[in-house]
Amino acid sequence: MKEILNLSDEKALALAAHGDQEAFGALYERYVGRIYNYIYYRTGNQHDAEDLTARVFFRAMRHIENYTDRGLPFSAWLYRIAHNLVANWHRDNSRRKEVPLEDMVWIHFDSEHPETTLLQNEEREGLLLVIRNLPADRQQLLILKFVEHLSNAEIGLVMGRTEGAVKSLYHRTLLSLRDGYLRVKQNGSPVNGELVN
Amino acid sequence: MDMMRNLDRSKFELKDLEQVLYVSMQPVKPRQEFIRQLRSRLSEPVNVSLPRQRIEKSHYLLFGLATLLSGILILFTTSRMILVFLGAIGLARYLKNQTEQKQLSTQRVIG
Repeated sequence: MKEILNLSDEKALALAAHGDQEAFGALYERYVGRIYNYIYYRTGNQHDAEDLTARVFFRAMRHIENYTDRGLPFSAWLYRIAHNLVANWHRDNSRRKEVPLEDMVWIHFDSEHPETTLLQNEEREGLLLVIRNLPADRQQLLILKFVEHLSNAEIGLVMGRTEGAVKSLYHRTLLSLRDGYLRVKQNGSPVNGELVN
Repeated sequence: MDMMRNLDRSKFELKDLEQVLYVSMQPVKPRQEFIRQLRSRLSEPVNVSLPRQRIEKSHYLLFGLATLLSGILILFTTSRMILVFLGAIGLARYLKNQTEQKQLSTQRVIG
């Protein structure tokens, strides 16, 4: 068991493709957190994040023998499955879901006054709302960069883009995010539709 | 942390926004219970996959046989119905001829 946990992705994949449950389990343990985080930030709630994460791994397990290593990391394949499932989820839920306040894992600011913390939480909520109104690929980029701390090259592998294209998309994303967020702050209301520059 | 308060400023630099994003987009930890349950659910299908496949195959065989038998039955019933229909037409014609002949012979006798 310990040996399997230490296997490289490629070796674990080869074993899992031949029906080795332990090998698939090792891959699951390795990536479940990352996939959950990605889906959590895309859907904004714990319940759907858990449901979709489960679906991602069931789908991956069903089709693991079809996975062929074309230079893409296994994580990229998982993210792609997650991306498609989240897209279907958004299509099925015509209205975007808000993040319930009780579901959010708030950052603990070093603040002396509770009202300051509340204000900061509201600001964070506003920022996340603007992010969830960005096009799907921009949301994915931000999650991979800020939650997963991936480099532009790694993000490029996951998203199937060149490093330069990722850099360019990132810059445009920041610009539209800044505009959207300042607009929300000024108007005090959520944005309608997707923010594209 | 003061970055959050700086958002109102019109000259909000992209670097500041990046800092806010680093602070706001913290990784979240999924529930351990969820991780454990999903792990056990993922390991379940292998134990039942072979019997399931056998059941599916036998179902296919059963469906095939039922379709074949239903087809034969439908063909038999249809051809029987056609024969009965044709027989009925023939009988009707025969009776009609008989009636006509009777009428003719009656007319001859009267004539």
